[in-house]
Amino acid sequence: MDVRFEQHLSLSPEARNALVHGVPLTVGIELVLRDARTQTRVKKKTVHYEIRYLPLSEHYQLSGPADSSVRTFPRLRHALAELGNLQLNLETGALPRGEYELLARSFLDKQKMPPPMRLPVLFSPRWNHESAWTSWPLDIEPGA
Amino acid sequence: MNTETRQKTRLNRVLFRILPMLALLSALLVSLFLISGVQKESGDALLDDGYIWVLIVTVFALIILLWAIFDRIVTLVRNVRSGVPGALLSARWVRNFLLLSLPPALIVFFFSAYFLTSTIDSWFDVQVESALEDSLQLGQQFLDTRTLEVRNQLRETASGLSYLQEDGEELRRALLGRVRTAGPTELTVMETDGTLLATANINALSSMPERPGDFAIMQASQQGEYSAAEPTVDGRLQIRVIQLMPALYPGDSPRFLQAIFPLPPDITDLTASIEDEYFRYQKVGYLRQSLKQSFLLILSLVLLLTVLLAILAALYSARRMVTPLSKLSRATREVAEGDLEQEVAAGQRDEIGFLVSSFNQMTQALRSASQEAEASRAELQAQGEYLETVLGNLSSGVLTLDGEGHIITTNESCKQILHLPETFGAGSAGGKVDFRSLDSLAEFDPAMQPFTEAVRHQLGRGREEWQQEIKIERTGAPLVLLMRGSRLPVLSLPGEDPGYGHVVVFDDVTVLNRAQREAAWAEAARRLAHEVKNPLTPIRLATERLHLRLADKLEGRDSEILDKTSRTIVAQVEALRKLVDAFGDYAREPELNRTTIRLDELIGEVVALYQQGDSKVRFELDLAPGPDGLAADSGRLRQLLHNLIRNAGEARAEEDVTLHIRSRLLEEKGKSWLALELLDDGPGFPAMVLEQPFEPYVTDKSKGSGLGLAICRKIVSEHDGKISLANRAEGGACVRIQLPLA
Repeated sequence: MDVRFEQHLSLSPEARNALVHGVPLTVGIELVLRDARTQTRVKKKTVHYEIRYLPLSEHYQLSGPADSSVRTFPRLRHALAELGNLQLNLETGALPRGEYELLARSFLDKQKMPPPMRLPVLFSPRWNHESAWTSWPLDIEPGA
Repeated sequence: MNTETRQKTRLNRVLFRILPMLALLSALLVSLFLISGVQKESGDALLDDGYIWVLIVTVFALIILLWAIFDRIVTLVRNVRSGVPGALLSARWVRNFLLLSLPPALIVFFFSAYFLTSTIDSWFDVQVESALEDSLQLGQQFLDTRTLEVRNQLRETASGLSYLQEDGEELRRALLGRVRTAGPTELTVMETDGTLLATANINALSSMPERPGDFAIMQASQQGEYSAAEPTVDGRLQIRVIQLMPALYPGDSPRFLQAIFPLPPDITDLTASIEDEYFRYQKVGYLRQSLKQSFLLILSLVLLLTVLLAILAALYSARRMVTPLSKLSRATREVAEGDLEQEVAAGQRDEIGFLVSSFNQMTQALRSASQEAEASRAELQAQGEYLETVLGNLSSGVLTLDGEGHIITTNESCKQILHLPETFGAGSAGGKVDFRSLDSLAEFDPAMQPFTEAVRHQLGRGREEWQQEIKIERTGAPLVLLMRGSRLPVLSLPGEDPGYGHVVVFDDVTVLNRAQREAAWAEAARRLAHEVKNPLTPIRLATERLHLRLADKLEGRDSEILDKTSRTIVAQVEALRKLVDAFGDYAREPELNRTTIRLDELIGEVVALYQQGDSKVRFELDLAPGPDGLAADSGRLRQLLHNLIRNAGEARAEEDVTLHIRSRLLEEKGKSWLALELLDDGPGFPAMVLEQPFEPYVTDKSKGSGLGLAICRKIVSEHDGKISLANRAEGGACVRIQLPLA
């Protein structure tokens, strides 16, 4: 299943400050396909993107979801805009007929933060970059 | 202990012992884990994924610890308020433990915090940071200079290529020529929207040219050129320059000329090194505050764990120390209350364990001693009961005294013989007397004076054994006692002089004494009767013959003298004969002809004889009907009644006497008796009679044989009865007779 994921991403001043001071930020995109009737999860996929700042060239580097996919941007907003317009693939295989829900959300992965920051960011609301779940109804027709 | 209780105990042990220890262990491991990982760079998968779980486990472990400690402290406070043995000691132990352990922990905490923050701050040197910034600016300056150079270079190149057609072979060859001479590794001509028109690369096998980003295209469109150092995919730097080439002819579209200039490898390595080091320093500097916070958080966690560990250790050690002490205290109290089955489990191999072991040995020794004492007591009790039974069944009276003459024990016969009340002593044979003295015995009954004096006299002599016969003058019932005494050793405490007591055994020999006298009297009476009765008849016959021969021969005064003398002799002989008959009655062996009689009828018949004659005795009868079951010799009982009625009638010489006869039934010592009382209103018995009742020839009467009352007692004794004499308080004599009923 191909999913075109569009979102508007913005970072708090604390996150931007950490970024320009060499702390790479990891943004996770989580996709969940579940049965609309039984609410049981059919498929789940999480992809991670990393944004880091390159001080010498003053560019922002966006890598992910695979290591080979690396792009640089002269402005942070360009990198965030790139991150807000993604073409993702959710490998579901052949789905039986029925009604489904596709849920998606993005979040700042605090577990990927440097260890010294993990305890503080856990208890700081300014580091709470986590979107709500957004759902789309899906009807799988026969032969789809 | 049933299964449910055992399961509950096991659950409590898990909850209150094992869980806190596991929690403590988990918290310590977590602390070590956090400390070891706080300085690491991200990338450790286990650390990355499990960090939050580690914290959750830590918090959970802390909650368990706090709960366990809170529960124990609440229990301790409750025990202190309830006065549970050992609780106060536990509280003091915990308090002292905390007072001793908390200050060092706090000092270590504050010094560690200060040391850590100082150390972290010392990692950062302003000069190093400035040098790194300068290096970075130098690199950027180099890049800017190089970018400016290649941009100017591309301007020239663009002006030289602007006349060439966009899709001609000539353009491609021109681009290739510029690539080989001008320095870029790649030259590309493209539409302003990025569509590729022609390209040339120094490497013929290279792939398609890299499309510039939207930002570069936009800037080149707006400003006519774009130049910037950009990182490549492999981390190196290259300079991308885009130059707008105006349209050659009207109607043509403007084009972009893009050139990629690589940096020399050594320069690239240097700039990369500068960038990495600068960035690492920047990151560490940025993380400095977080690092401090993390260290402080972890130190606080360690401090908290230390405090909790101290509390837990204090509670545990207090319980470990106090539990056997409180058990000992409880057990000691139980032992003091007499429960010698107490035993405290010895679980420790220290002084307390030794104390517990000693306590158990002591209780075991106490148990053994108690059992021996119990056995001795039982044996003593058995011996006492045996002795009591023996004494109780002895017909002899037994009296024991201590060295000072205080009465200690008496037996039942003693009370019966001495006529002591049942409440005397403990009310039972062999019972203890509260050290009543011999004087108190004499005070109780003045007639006992001879008894007490005899005992005191014999004790004063200090002889081992003695024997004495005494007579106690009791009104109506004199008592003759044969007393024997012995000195007894008395138990004394160790260190005290052994004392001596005395035992006095006495027998009532009154009956024996009387029987001996009666036998003597009977023998005397029989001899008297035999010796006296035989000559009486010849005397009388001789007197009568003498009167017959001389009566006709004498006259006057001589005849009167003869008549008078003969009558006197005959009368005296008759009196002697009666006396001899009385002696005969007294000495006669009992040959009773027992038949069942009704005493009320017998008394009625005897009384009727007196009422018909000219008797001075007036009767008042109050007789119980019957009774049935009296087997007696009616003739002997008639003689008894005649003797008593005659005795009452002779009480007053001139005046009439009223004799009140009454009978009733009574139960005494499980036997049925007929009680007969004869009460008169005469002067009563004289003192000499009361002192020696029923004694032959003890009388104050001028006439009579002096055997009346003695014969009465003989008749009553023949019928297994009892008879006693007394004077009534209101005046008059009282004779009490008890005859057994079948």
